[in-house]
Amino acid sequence: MTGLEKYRWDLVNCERCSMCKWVHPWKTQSHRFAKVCPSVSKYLFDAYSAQGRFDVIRGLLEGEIEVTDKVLEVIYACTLCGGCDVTCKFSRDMEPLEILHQIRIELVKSGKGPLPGHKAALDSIKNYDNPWMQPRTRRSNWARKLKAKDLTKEKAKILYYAGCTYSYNPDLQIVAQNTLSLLLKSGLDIGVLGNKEICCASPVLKVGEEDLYHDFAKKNIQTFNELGVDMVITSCSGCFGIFTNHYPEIGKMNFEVVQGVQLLEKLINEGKINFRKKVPMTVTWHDPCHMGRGGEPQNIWNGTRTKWGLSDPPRKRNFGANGVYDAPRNILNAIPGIKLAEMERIREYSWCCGAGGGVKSAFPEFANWSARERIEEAKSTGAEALVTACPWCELNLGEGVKADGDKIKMLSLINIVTEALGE
Amino acid sequence: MSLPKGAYQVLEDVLGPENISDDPAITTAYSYMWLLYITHAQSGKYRPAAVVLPSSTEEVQAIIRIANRYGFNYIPVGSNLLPPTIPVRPDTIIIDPKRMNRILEIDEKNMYAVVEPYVSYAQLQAETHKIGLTITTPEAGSQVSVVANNMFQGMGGMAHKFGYNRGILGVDWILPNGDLLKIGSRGVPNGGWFWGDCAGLNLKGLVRADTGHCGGLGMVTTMAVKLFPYPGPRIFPCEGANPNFVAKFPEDRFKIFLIDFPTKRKVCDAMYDIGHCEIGAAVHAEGANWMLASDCASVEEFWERWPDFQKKWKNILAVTIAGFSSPRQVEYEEKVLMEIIKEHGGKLVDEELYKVGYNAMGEAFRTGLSNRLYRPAGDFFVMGGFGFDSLDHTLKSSEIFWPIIEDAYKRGLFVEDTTKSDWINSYQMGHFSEVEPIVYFEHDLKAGEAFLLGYIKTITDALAKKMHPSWPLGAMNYITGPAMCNYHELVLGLKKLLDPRMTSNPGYPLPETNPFAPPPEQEK
Repeated sequence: MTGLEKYRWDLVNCERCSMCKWVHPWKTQSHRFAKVCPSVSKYLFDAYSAQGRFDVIRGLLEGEIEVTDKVLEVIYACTLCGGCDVTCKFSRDMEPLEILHQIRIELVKSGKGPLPGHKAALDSIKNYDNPWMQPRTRRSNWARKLKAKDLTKEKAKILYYAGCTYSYNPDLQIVAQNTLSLLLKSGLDIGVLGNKEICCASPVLKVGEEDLYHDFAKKNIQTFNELGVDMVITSCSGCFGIFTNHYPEIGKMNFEVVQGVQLLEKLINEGKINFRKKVPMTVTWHDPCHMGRGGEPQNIWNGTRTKWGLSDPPRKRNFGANGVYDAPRNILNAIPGIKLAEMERIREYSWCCGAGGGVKSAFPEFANWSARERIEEAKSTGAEALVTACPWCELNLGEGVKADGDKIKMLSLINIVTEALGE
Repeated sequence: MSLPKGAYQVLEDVLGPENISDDPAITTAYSYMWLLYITHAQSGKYRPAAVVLPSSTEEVQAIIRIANRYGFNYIPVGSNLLPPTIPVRPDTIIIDPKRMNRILEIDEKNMYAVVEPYVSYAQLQAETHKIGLTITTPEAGSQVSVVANNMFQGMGGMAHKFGYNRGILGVDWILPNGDLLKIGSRGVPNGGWFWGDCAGLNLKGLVRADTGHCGGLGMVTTMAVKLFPYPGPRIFPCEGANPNFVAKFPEDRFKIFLIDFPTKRKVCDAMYDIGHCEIGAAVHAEGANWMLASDCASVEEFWERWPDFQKKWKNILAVTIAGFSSPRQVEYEEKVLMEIIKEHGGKLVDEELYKVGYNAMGEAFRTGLSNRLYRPAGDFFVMGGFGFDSLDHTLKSSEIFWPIIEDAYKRGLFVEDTTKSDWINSYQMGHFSEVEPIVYFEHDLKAGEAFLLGYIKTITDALAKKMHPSWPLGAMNYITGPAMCNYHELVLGLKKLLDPRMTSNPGYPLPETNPFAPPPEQEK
């Protein structure tokens, strides 16, 4: 577990303040929605919080305990949403999220991880370049009716990277189609990679398969650089988060990464998108973890801790507040008829949908529980629809909405935008 | 680290298999405590034999009865912050109250709330603020348990106005023998929760004491706490994004004044007068290291600013004024405060320092920055000095601990602090006070030893001067007791009476034997 040695300072100095379990006290608005960590909220034992996982990891490093099935469960029953990271860093200079990633990498290196539930998606990514066990040849089907440039044959300034789920899931392809269609109509010089697009490998990194992740990340960076594009746009928050928050340490990226909603907001501000139709609806916005706190540009740091815990060289930390938060809200507020009713846990304190970090495949019941929690919060605002811009969130929350008797609608932001355009 | 044969099964039958675990992957998370590691070198030595998650008073009662029957130890915890929550002997289980997380009642008219042990201050305040009521929150942070903190000290920013540790009303308490004892108005049939006292013997002091019994006398499962008027916004007025928050209260009702005095003596004199005039909502002299830490987003930022800040922040008093009755109250109290400042030669700080200390006002109403206390180094704690006594007593305490601190930082063991500025709290309109000198050190045994020896020295030095010494927690009572009418013998007697098997967090409120006593042969 040598990769964890650099975090020893964090592991031994956690003072169990419990901030990692809660929304910051000054941001707490109710008893009901005061917690930020889905894992400890569901499983209750401290071991399922960042503080408890620190203790477990320290115990592993010290040889006090061994890797068992229960240890694996404790480590993997976490969506890696980063809520703990945000609340911890308010007061301490620790890196819970990095450590929770690193322990998974170490578990894989030692042949203990990932979990059997992760195997199908990993094999699929290895064999088909996507986690959904779909053939490469069908990847570009979603874009058949759109006249986007094929960037394997011609040049464009912008690459639209659909991501695996928006490419293959028949219920969600409409998101990629509506986004690309809108961008094309706005006159942007944009193209796609078609069947040559491969997985961003976020699901691979999240379960600790570092080597495989590196292969995909290097390949993607090389491909995007070789295309000579200025910008890579993705509608998938999972892809966005991995591109902005993890790829930079893999290699130099000669392009800007943009979430689809950021570009939409820009086009609205520039007057290139005009809404013609009123959409009379009260909605609430769910901040996807990997677009919000996990979508911050990565601050790469390779250094050591010195006396008093100082970092050498001085480290710039990610606090989670610089993710994409305003763009979707500005878009919703610009749509005639839409009334935005905010939930209590928003922006860097957003409650995770429950699907991330390999939880959906290994702990489906936990994923559903977390989704139900979010849906309860969404319903408490009086909103008719829960809106987001992430396929993982939409699928998982969508399942929860269905199980709850469809008392609230689950919508993609781009689909509301498309409706408001009156097309 | 295992329970007596059959005990686990009996506990599981009561709680359900999902609410108990003896798996090391679970119990390890309750075995380590940063401060305990350096001071006692015991952390991680004993994992709990199991962790249990009761959901009701009845389940807690069953757990404690099973512990008595099978003869194992138990530690009831709240949010699990302090060293007493870590097992230091085998055959100990942790009673984690996470399933007991309900606010059972908020009585607006009679101004109290009834809560279970895993309700945090932030949760309770978020609900009470909606109806114009509040509760003072502790410096440990608003994320800690209302019940556990009230049993420990129940102190907080507003204790100047609202009183120190006076918030406990009706209580349901499972005694170490498993009996349910209802105290306060709960002890009277149909008495409800509203009153902390009642006819007959009042045992509230046993729940709370000076620093509580730390789970050594059973577990409180439900507590009513007093609420106070709150003239602030219904949602806590926090602006900004992580890590830069500002608590902006309406200026007609809330103001903070940061006043620089020439000496510590003058600070205390001003605090006395503020109390005499019965003004102010929160009144603290703010220590420089903590104040800067509260304003820094990283340890690096702290260390960049600390050398210069030490020159600027010495004897600064923070006074928060709130218009509980009307904006005119703020106007009146401000006028009185200005007179006091003038009389004691104080002056308002410049804009730069005001910006640093401004959030002390938000902190007074809901602690949210206090965990930044840990920021300047790996470890921190208070170097004795906890004399809950007069403001004058805090000054004398300060004379005791600063030479000890200075010696340690000159040897490179503590973070240097040339300001010698203390965190002095006024309680109950200045009628009494306490002082906390915060020291920072590395996570190593040498620094830990310096801290522990220094801590004990502050106690023995205070006793030698016939002063009220620092925080007597656990074994420390054996040092303070003999100098103070042997109160420790009374406490131990009560422990033995209520917990004859010594199973309820055995080292607390004090251990059965004196760990500082010389070994028998030496005694001879």
